[in-house]
Amino acid sequence: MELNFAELKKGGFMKHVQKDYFAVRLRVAGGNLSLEQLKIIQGVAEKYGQGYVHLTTRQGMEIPFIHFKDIENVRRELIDGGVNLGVCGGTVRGVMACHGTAMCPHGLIDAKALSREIDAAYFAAPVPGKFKIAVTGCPRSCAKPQENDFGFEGAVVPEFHQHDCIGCGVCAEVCPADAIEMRDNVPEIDRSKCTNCGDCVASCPTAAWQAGERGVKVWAGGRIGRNPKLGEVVIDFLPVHKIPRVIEASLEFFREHGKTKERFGKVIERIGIDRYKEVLEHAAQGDS
Amino acid sequence: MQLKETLNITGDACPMTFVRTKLALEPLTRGDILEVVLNGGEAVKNVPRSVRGEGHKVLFLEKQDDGTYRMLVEKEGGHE
Ligand code: SF4
Ligand code: SF4
Ligand code: SF4
Repeated sequence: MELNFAELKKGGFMKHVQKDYFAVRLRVAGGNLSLEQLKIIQGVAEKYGQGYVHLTTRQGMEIPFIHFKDIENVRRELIDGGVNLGVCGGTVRGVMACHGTAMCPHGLIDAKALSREIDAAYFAAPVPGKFKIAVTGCPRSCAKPQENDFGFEGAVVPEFHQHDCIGCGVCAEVCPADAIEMRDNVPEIDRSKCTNCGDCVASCPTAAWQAGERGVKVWAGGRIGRNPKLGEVVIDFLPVHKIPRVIEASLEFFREHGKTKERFGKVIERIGIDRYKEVLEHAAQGDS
Repeated sequence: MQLKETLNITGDACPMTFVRTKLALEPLTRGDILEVVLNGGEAVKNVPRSVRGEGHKVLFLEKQDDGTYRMLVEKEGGHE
């Protein structure tokens, strides 16, 4: 039996140090696996593996010690049971997410739902190097968009409703950007300083600050690996519905300028962040 | 509408600050006022908002000279 390593790798099988054994990587979107999926995974790990699974640092799951003779059976049993295989190499990898508004009181966007949409549209899309995406619900950054090639952080535009304000000054005290100042017992906002963190909305006791448009801050170019570097903010506020355009423009930029195995952040550095930002701006512009 | 009770939570940490406020509100009847003395920082950022989230109305909230805050909450607030 001939082993096609390139084909194996694309399908999410990674070679072990032990001869003839592979680990199978599973496709997980936003850190969720259903109990039905877990049952299937448990069955496969019991039957073909060594009775355990490995949790990756990016909310992924792998079943180690699959013998190469079993690869076809493992693939079929997983897929028939609703568990899809992960990817390796130069592709869009599993999309990470925190809880977001699904349950976290701090959440500004539905990070889980957004990660599933991104996974459905872009998972395994071919690019020169690995491309990791993370979606986090607020600036607390539990899903670490700064460590990923591309990342989204929940953001909100605060709106003021003066008739509900009791002039307590809490919003001015909590604003981490010093964007709010009390004038005659009324908060005044400097929009140029506001980072859309939503802390004023979250702490106002009378809902005088309310959540207006929801969107994301966009991070790009982060990586860990041999030459770790945090990503940087490339768009301060992007409405949620424009996210696909920005992803597509970035993948296109990566394909056009990237060398094989190069990380996205390196490509941005080499070509120039200003040029990349221009591409993003162009993509984010236009109607709707 | 009358002031029923005063609660001081300046010695408590999150989430006990909110839990004690919630417990103090429980036996009161609709329209009663609870006075709460709380710290700045995390407490003032979270407790008043959480109280509102439970349906009560924050009538008054003011920083005092010693840095703590004084809050008046109306149990299950009246008009919107
Ligand atoms: S990043 Fe924000 S929304 Fe997401 S889990 Fe952390 S605190 Fe909650
Ligand atoms: S959203 Fe954040 S930065 Fe903007 S005004 Fe409110 S607290 Fe300040
Ligand atoms: S926290 Fe709310 S009620 Fe207090 S000053 Fe700010 S807007 Fe007004």
